[in-house]
Amino acid sequence: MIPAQSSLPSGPAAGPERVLGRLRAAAAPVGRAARLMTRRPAGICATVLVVLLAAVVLVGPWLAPDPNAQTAAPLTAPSGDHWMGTDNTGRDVLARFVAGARISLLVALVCTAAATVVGTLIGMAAALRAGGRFDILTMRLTDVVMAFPLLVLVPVLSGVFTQKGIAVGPVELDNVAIMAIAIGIALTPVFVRLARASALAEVRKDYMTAARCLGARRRDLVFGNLLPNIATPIVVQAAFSVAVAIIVEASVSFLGLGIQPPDASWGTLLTDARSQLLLGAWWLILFPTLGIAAAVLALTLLGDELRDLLDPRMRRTFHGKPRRRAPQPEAATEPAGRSADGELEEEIR
Amino acid sequence: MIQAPTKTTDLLAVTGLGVAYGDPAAPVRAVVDVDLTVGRGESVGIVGESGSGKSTLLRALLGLHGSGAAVSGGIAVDGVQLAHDPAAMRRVRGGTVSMVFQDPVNAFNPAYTLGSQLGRLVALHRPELGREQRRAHVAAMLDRVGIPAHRTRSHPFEFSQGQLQRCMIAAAFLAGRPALVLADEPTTSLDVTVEAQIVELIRDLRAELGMSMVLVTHNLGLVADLCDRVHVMYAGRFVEHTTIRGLFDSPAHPYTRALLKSAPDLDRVRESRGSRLPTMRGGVPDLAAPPPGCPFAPRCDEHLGEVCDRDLPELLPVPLMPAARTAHGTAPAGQASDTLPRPGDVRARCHRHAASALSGGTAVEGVKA
Repeated sequence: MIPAQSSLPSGPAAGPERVLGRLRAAAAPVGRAARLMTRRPAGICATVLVVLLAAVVLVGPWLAPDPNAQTAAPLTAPSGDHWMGTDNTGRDVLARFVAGARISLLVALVCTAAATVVGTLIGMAAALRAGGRFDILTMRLTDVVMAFPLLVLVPVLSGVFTQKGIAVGPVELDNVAIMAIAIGIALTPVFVRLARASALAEVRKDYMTAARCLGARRRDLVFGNLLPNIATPIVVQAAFSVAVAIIVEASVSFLGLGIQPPDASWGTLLTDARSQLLLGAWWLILFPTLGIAAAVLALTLLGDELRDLLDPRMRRTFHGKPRRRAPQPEAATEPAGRSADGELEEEIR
Repeated sequence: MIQAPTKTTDLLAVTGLGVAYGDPAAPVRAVVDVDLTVGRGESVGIVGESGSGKSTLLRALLGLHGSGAAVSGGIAVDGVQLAHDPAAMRRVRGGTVSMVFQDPVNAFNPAYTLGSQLGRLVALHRPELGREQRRAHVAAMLDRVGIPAHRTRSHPFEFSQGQLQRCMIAAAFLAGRPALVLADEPTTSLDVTVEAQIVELIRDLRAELGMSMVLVTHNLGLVADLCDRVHVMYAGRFVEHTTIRGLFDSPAHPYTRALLKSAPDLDRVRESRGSRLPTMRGGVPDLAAPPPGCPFAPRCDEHLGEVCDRDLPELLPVPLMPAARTAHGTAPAGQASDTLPRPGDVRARCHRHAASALSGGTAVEGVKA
């Protein structure tokens, strides 16, 4: 399975070949993941959309440099010069779409990543002290946070933070960062609950006891044994949460309570588009909407695919063939030379 | 085989061990006042029905009882007190004392391949080994228990239960260098033919490596195969301590006799086709509110009356029974003598024996199973 080893000649390898082997070994997991992801239509769809979004975010700025340059006539329909048309002040919609994608996706990814890590750690800690004071306090706190609708909680939090002004060292956080923090806080309870519930089910299983009684340390128990077994639902939830974060950010910005103009996000693009819709400027509303829909669809499909892929039982069906090298006759696994019958008689006597 | 281990050579010495769950005011006493010693190279069985506290006892030995349990008494391994010293307990786990679990399917982490799990164990207990040596060691371990080395890349779900139990045994017996292996019903989840192979494997490994073993089971045949002496447990207490010969030929406690009678026996089943197999009436008493007298009194066929319901009997030496004296009279000379129970080997917690011991006379009659 590991190309590095099978591709190497048995003697001392020549330099370039060894380097090549190492590279291949390093690339193997990526290649395997890519192969696995593209086995089913949904997986292909998710992969294509994610790659497209990544391309927009990474390459976009070179295609459409300045989102705020008023270089063209206002409200022109999509054309060869302006692929997505222009808005009412003559700004290129493609440039704003790309800039908006960067901010929307950045906010969504950062806040979900933070919520996942923090939520999982808190959830595991709560599960390991189940019934204790920390556990109870954490659970009630998540109840409180989850009781508020996201669309209320996020603007309130970001409003409070903006008023107070948050500084990390010398850096004053701008309103994009504050937005990310607010959404992150709103998303964390889901991960706390999920991690706690999964961990509670896992810590009671025999393999945890077995690992303990065969000498595993506490850190190894928690991060080596527990975490990999609760990771699947958490990773899947993270993919869905990115989608939720994109929608929340867009909604809050649409309401004028999130990202502030002239910064572009998909939500603020929609705000701008709303007043122009009656003038027939359909392109203003179409492209941000498509962007949001595509991103949410991609991440939802990705979540579904991950759910299957992360289960080791499913990997075999994805490979389509067993991973062992040669079929082993069952007899080879039994110690030879003694019939079970004599034993049996003795057993039953 | 039976030797009274001297204090200095006892590998495991448990004194007055108690495990209680729940409300301290009205605790569920799962294990009460258990004394147990295991000498080097010795194999001790603990038998009893479900709910008798035998698994709880075994887990308490390694400090694996949950946080809700209150453990009292002493557990010394190699003369080191572990009972209330989690750090010392952790040092012992896997290294000096390891454990084989009942259900091998759940005892392996489903997220890792078997090779990486065993490799991690080896790394923990043999830190001096390098990566390649470790891999070779794992392969050798698996080879010893009859699993082909290439299966290190398989996940636990790709193995059969019997294969996993082999791997479990490899992990417990071969990863560290344990002096004592605790086995918690190692064959209960396996079918009979596989069970026979596992029994054989355990016996071979013990013969090869000379480690001690505490075997918890409700399978009397397993005890006969693997143990030197045996404790019978009922309602959290040891009610009888005897040798293997003693267990089958002259069980001293009424519970032991009932247990032996309830074990299905092919010959007996054939004879009594159509009729019901013998069973023990009633169930294990409520451990939260145990009866004041002998815990077995409500189910006992040899009930003596008021004294059984009123007083808890002591675990007292049982005078050898006529049955035990005569049963092996025909055995070839010099062969059976070491396995025959000797005076003091057999102890039972029963008023009948207390009465007969007091009267200084012969043993109770009519006890041949």
